[in-house]
Amino acid sequence: MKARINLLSTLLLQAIWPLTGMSQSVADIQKKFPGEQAVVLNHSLHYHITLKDNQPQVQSEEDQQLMFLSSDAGARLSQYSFYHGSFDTILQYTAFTKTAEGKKIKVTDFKTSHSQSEGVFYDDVQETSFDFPGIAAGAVGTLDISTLEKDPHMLTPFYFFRGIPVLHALLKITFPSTVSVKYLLKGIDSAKVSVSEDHRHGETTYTFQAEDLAAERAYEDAPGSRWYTTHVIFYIEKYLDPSGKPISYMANPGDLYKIYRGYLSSINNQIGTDLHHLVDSLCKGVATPREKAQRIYSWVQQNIRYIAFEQGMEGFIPRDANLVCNRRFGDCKDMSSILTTMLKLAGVDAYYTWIGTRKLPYTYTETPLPLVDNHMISTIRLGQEYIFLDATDPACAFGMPSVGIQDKQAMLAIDDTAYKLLQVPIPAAGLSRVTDTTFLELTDQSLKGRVALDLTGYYSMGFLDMLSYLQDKDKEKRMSAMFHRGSNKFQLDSFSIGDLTDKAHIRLSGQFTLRDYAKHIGSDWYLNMNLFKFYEHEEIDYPKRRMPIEFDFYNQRKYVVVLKIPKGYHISYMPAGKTFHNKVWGFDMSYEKKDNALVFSQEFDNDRLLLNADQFSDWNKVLENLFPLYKESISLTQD
Amino acid sequence: MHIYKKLLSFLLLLSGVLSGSSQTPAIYKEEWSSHPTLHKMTDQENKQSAVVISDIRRVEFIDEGKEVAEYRTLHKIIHLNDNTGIEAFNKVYLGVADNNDIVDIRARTILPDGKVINIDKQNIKDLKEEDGNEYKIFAMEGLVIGSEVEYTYTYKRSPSWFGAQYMQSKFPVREALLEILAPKRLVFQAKGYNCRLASTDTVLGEKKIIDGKLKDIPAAEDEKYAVYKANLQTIEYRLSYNTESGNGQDRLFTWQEMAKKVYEFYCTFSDKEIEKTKDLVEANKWGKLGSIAEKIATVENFVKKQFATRKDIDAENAGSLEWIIKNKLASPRGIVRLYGAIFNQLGIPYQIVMTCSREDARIDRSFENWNNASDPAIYFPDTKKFMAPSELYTRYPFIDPYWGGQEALFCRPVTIGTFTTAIAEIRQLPLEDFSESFNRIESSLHLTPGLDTVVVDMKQSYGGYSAAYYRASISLGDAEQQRQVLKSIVRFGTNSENIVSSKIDNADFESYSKNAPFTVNATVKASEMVENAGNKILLKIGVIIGPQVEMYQEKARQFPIQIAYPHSLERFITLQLPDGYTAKNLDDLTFHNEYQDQAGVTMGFTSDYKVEGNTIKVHIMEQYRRTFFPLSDYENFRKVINSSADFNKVVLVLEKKG
Repeated sequence: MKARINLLSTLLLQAIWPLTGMSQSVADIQKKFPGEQAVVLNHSLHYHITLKDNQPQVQSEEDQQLMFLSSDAGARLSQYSFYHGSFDTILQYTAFTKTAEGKKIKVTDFKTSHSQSEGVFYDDVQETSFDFPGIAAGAVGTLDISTLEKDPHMLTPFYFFRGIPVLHALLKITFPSTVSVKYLLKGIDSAKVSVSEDHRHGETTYTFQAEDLAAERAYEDAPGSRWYTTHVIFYIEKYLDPSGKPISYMANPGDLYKIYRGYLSSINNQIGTDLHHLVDSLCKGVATPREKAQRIYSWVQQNIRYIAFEQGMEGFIPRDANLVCNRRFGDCKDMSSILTTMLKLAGVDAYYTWIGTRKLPYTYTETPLPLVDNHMISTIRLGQEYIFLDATDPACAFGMPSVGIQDKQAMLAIDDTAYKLLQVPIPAAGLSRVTDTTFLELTDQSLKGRVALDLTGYYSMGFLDMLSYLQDKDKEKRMSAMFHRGSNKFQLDSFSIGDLTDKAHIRLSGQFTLRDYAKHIGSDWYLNMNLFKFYEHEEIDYPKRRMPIEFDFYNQRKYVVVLKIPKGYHISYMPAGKTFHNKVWGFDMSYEKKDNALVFSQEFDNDRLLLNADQFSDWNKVLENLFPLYKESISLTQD
Repeated sequence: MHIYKKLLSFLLLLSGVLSGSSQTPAIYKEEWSSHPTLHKMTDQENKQSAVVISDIRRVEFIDEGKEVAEYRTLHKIIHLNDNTGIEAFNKVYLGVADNNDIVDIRARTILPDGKVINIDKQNIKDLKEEDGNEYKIFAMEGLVIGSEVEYTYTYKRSPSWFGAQYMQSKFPVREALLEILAPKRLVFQAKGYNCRLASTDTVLGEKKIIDGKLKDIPAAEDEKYAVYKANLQTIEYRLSYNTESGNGQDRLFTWQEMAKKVYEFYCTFSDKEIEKTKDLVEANKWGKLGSIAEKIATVENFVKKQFATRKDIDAENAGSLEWIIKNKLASPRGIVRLYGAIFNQLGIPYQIVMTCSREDARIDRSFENWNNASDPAIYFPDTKKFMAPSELYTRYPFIDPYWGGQEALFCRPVTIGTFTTAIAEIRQLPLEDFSESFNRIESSLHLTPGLDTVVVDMKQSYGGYSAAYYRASISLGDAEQQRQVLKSIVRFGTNSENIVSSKIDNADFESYSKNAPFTVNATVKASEMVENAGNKILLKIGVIIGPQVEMYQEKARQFPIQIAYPHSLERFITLQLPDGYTAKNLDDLTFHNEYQDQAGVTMGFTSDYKVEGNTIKVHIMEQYRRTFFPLSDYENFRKVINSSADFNKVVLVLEKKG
């Protein structure tokens, strides 16, 4: 589905301006934001909502000023750009530099190209780029754009923060008394935004302002930026028609559903013979709706490949199932289309379903807007149970939601007027387990070992996904990485992959040699049984870091190392184990002598998808307790 | 537009290939079978994700009125054996000069049951990327394992008299063909690189045809310490003679001719430009600086901080010095001209050297492909050193290291009377000596009284090319990025981020010209370097040299070894043993893998230690004095690389005396 990017939606391009901060000198700003190379002096965006022909119309004026601070700004920072797509028309734009000496130089060379969104093969988002001429420390670059929003249902939120400091950010929304506009402030610094409301000449203006915002830099393990960055979502709730009758516009999820339902009206009205035959052959001899659904889901997963074309409304309207079937490719909407159609043909209760992936923090209940979702799936009902089927993930096991939609609110199309909102469940930690057992034997110079790896749930699905796109010739290398332990002298000698029919449970095994890991000195062997130090250097940069951390799924992990004690040797040192848990997480580590073996095990679990800043200290506390155990080796001594 | 496209269009102006005829003959029409059938795979081929059954490329030159037009055709058939193969070929991007200049485009899928699905032309989209490159893009329909994908297209472009076709890729090719068709008077030549090219010349009516065929091209894999593109089986071609021009015997597009044009393109200036440059030079008082090297370095640092230059800064006036000085934006040509005008003003002799990245191609003395001479460097005969005008992060005398260590086209100016031009010399573009690019670590280690932490007093210095990464990261980063870089440097040599104190020196780009090493001094409490086994202390001394690339488990090597630049890595480790302790396995510190040829040491990793009382002093020298090592040196190279990786894992066992 359309991951809509227009000129406002990238962090790079937000800024505003009421000429307050302009008087600040380069030195003042550098003092306030040491080490920064440029700042947004001002980013202002003013939306004007009016009614035209009894329909809302939205136009905006955007003004940005960037001040360059570093001595090499001229060489490195001149490039700038803005985005636009098929849902906004750029009416006018100008850009110029005011040099440090006060000279104005206009930008004359603008270039427009396609801006490719991640994972989308073709879309119509365009990027217009240019260079600010004559810049150096103290120069100010200005960009003014006026835009006509072609679809007022899809107004882009206003983002206050950017990758460089913002001295002043301002959003104004002006609308007549016949229109009602709602807004919602989100993000970890919402408190920094001042909000005011002004009524004048029959118009209302909402004003949102914030000042002196530090640069916002992403962490790789953070969730999608909308989970933390401060922004205002605003939308037209309703308006009065000329007779004074209120028209509900985006007042509730029902209004949104009406639009979405319209997208479905032209598709899947006639089902071709190919699809009929296909469904018949897949369901031949199958009695239960569950099994039929399993087979159909699996077929779509394996046979329809993900390729997304998004041009104009193609970004919103699913393609006809017959076409998808012939082409054998499609985007998420197309997969929802063919999957729902096939399931219905087989007599399974199936529903087209809109959903936002975990990149987005929104719900339809809170903001009934298209920005809530970026994805489409199919949902089936078996008795009282709802199962969410995401065919874009070929490795997803039936019954498990795909990783990206856990805990998200889904909108199911029940019929022409009815919809249903459902929360996708989070599979319990016990469903996604790693059980990794290493059997070690000391030889003259090295360690020989055997691994049994048991994966369930999302671990198993992740492995399958990796495997399905692996060229034969790359298999050894990837499997070696999969089994890797000890040091980079790990050498995988052989491996085998067990039965793959159950996507939610896979067993692997391997044999390896590990040289120079165990030390044989004199009559002693020394060996650190922590073949994995998963959390070394994983302390959270706390209290500096404020952005949350995202985890893929709830899980349980257990790693066991069984060392066979060679004949003629005994354990001369066995470290003590430890168990430590606090309210955020914890671990269990233990050493034990069992017959002629030393058994070391470490266990971890995770039952959260998001770790917030107020939990960072507890997270680090666990590591403080864990790290000393990483430093313990065992020793064996000749009898 | 790419710099050399622009350079070429200038260079090729009026090259005397135009025709007198005004007829437009038809172009060759690519065959498109009306009943395509699947190809049978061999057992060997079945193991591949995809097999290119045939890869036909045609370059056809045609007289169109008074102009010569070029038409390019590509026709591929690919058999898909698994999901990876499907994913690699289900989305097709076809490069074109301009999306409006498509003559023909077709694509189809042939399914295992023989059914054919044609791609509707409506589903072929136009794509223009940020770099200005344009493509036709489409998705293949109906693909299942065992299908074949077939597509062909022909587009028109402004003629280029040179070309390079890379015929090898990540997938094996059964049969590849490059065909060059041209009016009879235009004599093209082709040459194969990394392959045995069987080519034939024929004349068919008014056309001359060169056929270059390659068979059974294996898949080419990425390898550590190898360049990829320049090692692929490639066919290059060039226009060498025009039998209807002059006596028809004069070789066209020689290096000599290129040198002349390069000089015109980069080194000639209008009076106004000279005047503006003079103002700039005087305002900055560069004339008053001491040595030539100092002048070069100062000018370079100034220009590389104040002026932006990129390939896509290509407005009409971005080559003119008046406009550049005002706007601080320059095309790649413009920036070279700016330097040239400044050096002229300062009376510093210079030569333009046209080179290329040895990762991609080469400058061949006997097969002049002007396209390959794509990157301009500036050579200063007085100091015998180089500068890279368009590279923002390199500084005199260091250039992009892949530009050197190979032959390049030196355009040496000569003046005859009042007329100045340049003559061509193909000669070696040397990189700075291996001793100039170094990483040196001097670390003193002692244990804390609790014997659970090593205190490391560390000095890491990086010279020449070895400094490039850290210097750029520190001097271009903001405060937080600098903190992260420092952490990573410290972690590299201690496996710890517990920094007690630290200091960074010579992080500025100005330090390159004196080769003042980028230096980090730090005191670090590295508890990660100590492990315990009862009353024994396991000291991970190898950690000091940092994690190293390993080549323990490698497949059969395809390509010779290439490294970016000659360099050395020298380490001095001083370990103070705790009182009453002795180290049991000091001999683990000794390595000796060094290789020589008649000219001396080529590469090596050696480490030795000596004991002075309670102190152990380790000296390690790792060095690579060449950028290129032939395949026959591969095993030795691997040993050197792995010695270093092995040293990183050395652990000393300390035990109480007694």
